[in-house]
Amino acid sequence: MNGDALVVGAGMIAFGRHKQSSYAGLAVPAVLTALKQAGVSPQQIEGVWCGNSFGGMLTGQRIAKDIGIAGVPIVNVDNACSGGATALAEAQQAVREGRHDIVLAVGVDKLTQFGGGTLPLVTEDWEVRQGMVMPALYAMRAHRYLHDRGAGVEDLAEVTVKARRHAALNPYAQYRDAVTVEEVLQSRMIAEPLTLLQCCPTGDGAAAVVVVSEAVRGRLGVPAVRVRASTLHSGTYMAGYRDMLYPKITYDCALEAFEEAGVSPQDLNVIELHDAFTVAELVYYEALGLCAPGDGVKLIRDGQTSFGGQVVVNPSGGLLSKGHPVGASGVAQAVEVFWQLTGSAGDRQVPDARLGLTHVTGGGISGLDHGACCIHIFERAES
Amino acid sequence: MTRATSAVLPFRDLADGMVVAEVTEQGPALIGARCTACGYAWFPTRPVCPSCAAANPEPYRIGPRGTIYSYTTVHVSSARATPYSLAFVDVEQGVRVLSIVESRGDLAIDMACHLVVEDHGDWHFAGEES
Repeated sequence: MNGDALVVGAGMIAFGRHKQSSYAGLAVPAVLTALKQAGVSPQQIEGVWCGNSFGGMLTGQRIAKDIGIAGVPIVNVDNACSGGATALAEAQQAVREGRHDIVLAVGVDKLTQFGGGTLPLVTEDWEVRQGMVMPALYAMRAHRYLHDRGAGVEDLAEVTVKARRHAALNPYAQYRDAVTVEEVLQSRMIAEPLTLLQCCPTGDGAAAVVVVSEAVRGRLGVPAVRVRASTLHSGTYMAGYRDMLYPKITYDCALEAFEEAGVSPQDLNVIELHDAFTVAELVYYEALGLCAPGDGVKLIRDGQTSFGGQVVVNPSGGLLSKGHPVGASGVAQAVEVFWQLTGSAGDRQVPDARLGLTHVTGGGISGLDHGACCIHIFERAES
Repeated sequence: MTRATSAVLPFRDLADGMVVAEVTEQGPALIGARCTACGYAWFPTRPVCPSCAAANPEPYRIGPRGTIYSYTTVHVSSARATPYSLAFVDVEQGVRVLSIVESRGDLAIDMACHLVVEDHGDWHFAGEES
């Protein structure tokens, strides 16, 4: 590891149902926003990493050619829900190794092409053939959570209530209306005990960040956040009795990230974590070390993960409010944290945010807790 | 010069006719695999041990008794017709099986259950109300 990598530009589109937009139509406005903020032209981009799961062949090239990025390495990355974060991990690594000075990470996916319902999983997989869908996996985790932690369904619902409260202040979120615990629990049942409002909605989205070396950042003279840690893990196959409340992939990935950054979970001001379903957020409070194992439900009950608490989790409204266009989400999290750490998050600004963490996993294959987990820690760079 | 005498061929792991469940004189069982090198057991069978990568597993009968680790009833799914109930069933041989599960009463964590194999080979677990 040689130099540092810094994010100097970030952009995304409002997540939602954009059936009349192509993959390039979704991504180019996000890319142009990021480039403009960085003060970088498309011709200065030395490499592109594009996270997506459902874009088809050469998604990154279809985006790049529209704006004159040409003759450079473009790598398309699928890592399910970690695809966008993996693109960022690889892009920043190329800068830290000195291979490039100015690179672009993009995340994009269009789920409305599937016409609704649960995410189509790979039917070669054994458990998928038995009927596994993502809500079912998290629903089983939720039943176990309620059983082992002595929590109630109201505690799960409170995660959505918080997410929507945050999203009300975020024009990029798809669902911004406040909801009550009762409304969450009375919404349509998807996979017991998870109701519709406890599941991240489908949607389309794109996000982009420009990552540069220290030398280039000095030349650009723009606000920046420094990448303090970037870790990517795969899951470990287990045929036996796995504890679903101990997602080892996130525990291990987080431990490594905190070691690399030399910070502790208690130092963080803002977190964007993988709240694909309500129960996930509570489990990840524990896995990320925000509290002792078993105390996740206490954090949400005490309001410790909202504004005024110990750390603001998902100020953007999270996947539960934004929607979860698979490959886009990891980059969109980095965009939100960039805005928070540069003091440009508007009405939902976390006061004096200095350190932020992003976390995504990627699921649905037999025998693994998740297929991928990618964590980044960012720090506000002094100008 | 050496000359290759045979080419490496793929596993035909999607071929029809793989027996997953059977009923013998000993009763119903699922057919998993156990590694003859390291002893690791898993379900369903694969040609290579996921623990040590040895390529000589033996068939390993698991079930028929198990315990529900967790469960859900699915009302929206792209995988099959709804509603249906799924459970992670911990079978007595130390292996976890995702299964369709049926019960006359409410499903519950830690509920005992047993394997049911039908004539045409379809299988599920049935909950045992206490």
